[in-house]
Amino acid sequence: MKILVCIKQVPDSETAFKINDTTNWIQMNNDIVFRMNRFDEFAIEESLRIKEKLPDVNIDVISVGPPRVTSTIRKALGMGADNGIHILLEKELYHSPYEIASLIAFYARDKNYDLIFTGVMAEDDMQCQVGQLIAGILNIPSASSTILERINPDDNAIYVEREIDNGLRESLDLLLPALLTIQSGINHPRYPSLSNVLRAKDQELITVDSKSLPKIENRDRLTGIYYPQKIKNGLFIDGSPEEKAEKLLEILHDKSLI
Amino acid sequence: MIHEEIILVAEHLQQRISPITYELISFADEIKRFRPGIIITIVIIGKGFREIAGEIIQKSGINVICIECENLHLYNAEAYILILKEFISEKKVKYICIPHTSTGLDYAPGLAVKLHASCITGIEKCHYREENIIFTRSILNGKIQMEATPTTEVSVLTILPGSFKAPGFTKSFPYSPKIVNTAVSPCKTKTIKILNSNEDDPSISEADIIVSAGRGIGREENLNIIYNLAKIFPRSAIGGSRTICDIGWLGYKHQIGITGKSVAPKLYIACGISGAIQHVSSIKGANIILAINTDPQAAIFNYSDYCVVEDLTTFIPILIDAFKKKEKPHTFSI
Repeated sequence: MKILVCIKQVPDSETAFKINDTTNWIQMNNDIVFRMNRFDEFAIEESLRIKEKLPDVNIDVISVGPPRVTSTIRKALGMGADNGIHILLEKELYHSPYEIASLIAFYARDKNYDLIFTGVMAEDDMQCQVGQLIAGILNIPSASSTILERINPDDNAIYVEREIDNGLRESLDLLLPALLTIQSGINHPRYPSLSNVLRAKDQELITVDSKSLPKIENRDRLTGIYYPQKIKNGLFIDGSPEEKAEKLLEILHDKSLI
Repeated sequence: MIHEEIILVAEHLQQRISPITYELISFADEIKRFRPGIIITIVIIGKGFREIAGEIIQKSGINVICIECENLHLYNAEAYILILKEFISEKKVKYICIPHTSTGLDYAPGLAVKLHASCITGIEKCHYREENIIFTRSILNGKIQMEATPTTEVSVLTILPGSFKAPGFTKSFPYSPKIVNTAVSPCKTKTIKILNSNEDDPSISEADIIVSAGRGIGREENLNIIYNLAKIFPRSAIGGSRTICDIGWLGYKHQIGITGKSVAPKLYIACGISGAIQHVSSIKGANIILAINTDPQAAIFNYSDYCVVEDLTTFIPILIDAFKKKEKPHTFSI
């Protein structure tokens, strides 16, 4: 069985982001710490659990992005994935979900993957689209927000429970090949192991120039980015911690909340 | 002449129409301000909705079409995409609006692929500029917003719950819904059933004050600080962000957010919560929001009435101490 896990490198959300001069993306400066999208850690872990359960499972991880993303691909290898594929993009600018999904889909289409996993969304652009778009382009079934999956050797289908609203789940069977977007909380992602990290250090990645792949042109245009307007003009309470506490208690008391 | 149309796809669960469906109407009304001739149509896919469709028309005056499919008893992405594609094939549809929920996101991108449409998700606002309708959505944990405009004829849009207030209906309209019968058979997926997964705890929905913990609490032991803070308020409950529940520090019955609960307490205290849009959209009903966070750029401060930039692990104990001193002033004089 062949599994492809799509992963993304994202800037840490604790970063103080600044908008670039042309207001079309954030400034990529040295203050930004990049790491693996947390939702993708759950996707890798789920693929590793299938590998531990079924015979002859091969896991490829794929990431689309500038050269910096190779460190995230190596982290995935450190967790236990078999091969790393890097689709190289030149620019650091915004890339639409269609662009990313079509690059992955066109890479994957003749590789006979039985399962494709993605995280439920990327923490940075929060689109929740790439997985379902890949499935659409490849014309394979998909389920999003997967919170449980079950597959047996020689099965031609996978059983999935997906999270829907109000704490409910929906169960379904999907014929293989299929794509699942993996919801956080489905498992506890492992840390990279020392032996895998050592192996990953020297392992060659498969690098594919994005220009060599067909892709679907963007279907929307980014017209700008900006800092959010305040929904509420909240009061920043100032002073020493003790003074802040006093002021806060006074406010809560005046509002009859305490 | 064929008029341009906006299609709103109703969401329903266990035979009840989800409230977000009404918010889609407000969103469509906004679009209509920029494109006055456009027609709004609500589509309900499923059986047994004729009566409720009639009620929606009576209240809103908006055309509702029930698409009834013989063998479709539960939501199925494959079926939804086939049905919607067929339904709009004869129409001049400009926008297809879908709730930004787990179910909406399950089929919206796939539908866009099949329609050669653009797909813009998590829309919070829209405005008109240089003859384009531009949509606003949050990125980077709500610290930045981006604007996008479709470059295609047809667009699939998902609308963030809580962003467009459902309209107050006053008039009564005498129309009845149109029923369309169809037969599609999904061949690659089979929806089996709806399962109850989480233990429910009504205390969060009923609490006057919710003290909520996010990733910023740092360590599981620090949850005690959150519990201690909740204790100083009457009728209080503990909430948490998705991350905290995923790690297992709190049960999912405490989770507040799009995939958890929506709450509307008198006071919501966000402790170490960054303010990701999935969380914030579920606390907008709160009367007062107080946020404690070390990161002054945290998006939560944009939604808060009172903002404290402090490390919660040191600040909350100081707050609790100050409260206890005020509460029992006499004990010191004895």
